[in-house]
Amino acid sequence: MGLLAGLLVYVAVGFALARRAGAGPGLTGAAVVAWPLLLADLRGGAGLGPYDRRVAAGLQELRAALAEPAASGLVSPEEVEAVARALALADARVGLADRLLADPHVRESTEGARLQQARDKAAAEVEAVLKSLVQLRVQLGLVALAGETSPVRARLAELAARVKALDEVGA
Amino acid sequence: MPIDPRLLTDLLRDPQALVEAADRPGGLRAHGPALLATTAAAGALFGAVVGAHHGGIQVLFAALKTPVLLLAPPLIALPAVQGAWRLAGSDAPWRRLSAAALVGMARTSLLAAALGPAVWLLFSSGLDYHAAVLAFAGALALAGLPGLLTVLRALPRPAALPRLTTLGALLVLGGAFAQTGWLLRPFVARPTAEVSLLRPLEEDVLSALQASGRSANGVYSGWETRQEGFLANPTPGAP
Repeated sequence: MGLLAGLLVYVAVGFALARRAGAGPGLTGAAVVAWPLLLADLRGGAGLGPYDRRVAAGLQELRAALAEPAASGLVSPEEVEAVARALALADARVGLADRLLADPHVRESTEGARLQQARDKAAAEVEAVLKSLVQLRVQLGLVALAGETSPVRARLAELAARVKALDEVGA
Repeated sequence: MPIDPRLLTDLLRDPQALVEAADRPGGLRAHGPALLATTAAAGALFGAVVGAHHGGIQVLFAALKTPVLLLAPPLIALPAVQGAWRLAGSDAPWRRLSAAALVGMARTSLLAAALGPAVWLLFSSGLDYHAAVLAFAGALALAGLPGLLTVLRALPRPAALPRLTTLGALLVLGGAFAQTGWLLRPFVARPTAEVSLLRPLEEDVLSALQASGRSANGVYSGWETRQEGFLANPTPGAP
């Protein structure tokens, strides 16, 4: 296969993936150029929600704190990943509800109020988990200074419970 | 596509936060187009500066090829990086690799564009062709290193042989970057040469940089290149 034919196949695959994912012009252009790098979302990923940046910043700060030598081994990467996954999914659910509620027909329908209520509950759970992440970092600081590891375990248990609540909201 | 100025600030100040944002479900969809647009725009700007050493149509050719130079290496080398992490007993998920590569590329591109005025100043001081090639390679290496480090820092620490695995990944990505540049040359066209979009395939990037270094020191030898490798034409009559 010649270089030109290979390039055409590459572009066609990117275009087809973007079409299947219902992408707009910007994403279609990006997919045509670099679809392997966007594959994880072109195959059908959840949309972003209103907490996208805050969740990303909170997780990054937690990972940075856990990378400190004094905090190493206190929280496993798997535990952090579980929190990240649950937050991402909950945020995507809130985002979907927001997009639906932006439509006046949905908002004013009989089920609209129920959707709004469920959305507010999910948003409150995301907020609570974000606050727990901050508290966990505070406890990590106390471990570094005072050597108290049990409060970290308590915070982690609280965080795990909140993450479970996030999953239950989505169930 | 409009590029949010905050994205440019984040790329320079806090690239890991952008990796985290792009790594989340839907994050590549949300941030990917803007990161690619940044790579294309800033890369084209830097390419135009480099092409200005020769001037004329070479400005356009270099502006078109530089974004490809920045985009192609991750597409080629990332599966090898993922394989290296798996061999070292850790998983580097494709989503995270993609997020890191998109941010790393955009960061490299932005830094290269920021080096543009300095490169232009060097060129306007009457830098000869061989020194200009070295200046171009040096500017790309300077801009590329923070981008490569952004990618590697975003990955989990390999469970086994972490330094060797990281060094290997750095070499693979750096090598793919350098060889792509060699395949897409000329970016700085020879002053006496007829300008073309691409040159015929010959030798590799390391031998060319050695020859450029010798020529910059006034020793004009080692340019007797020959076609070789799997893409070279077979010798007539060979079995």
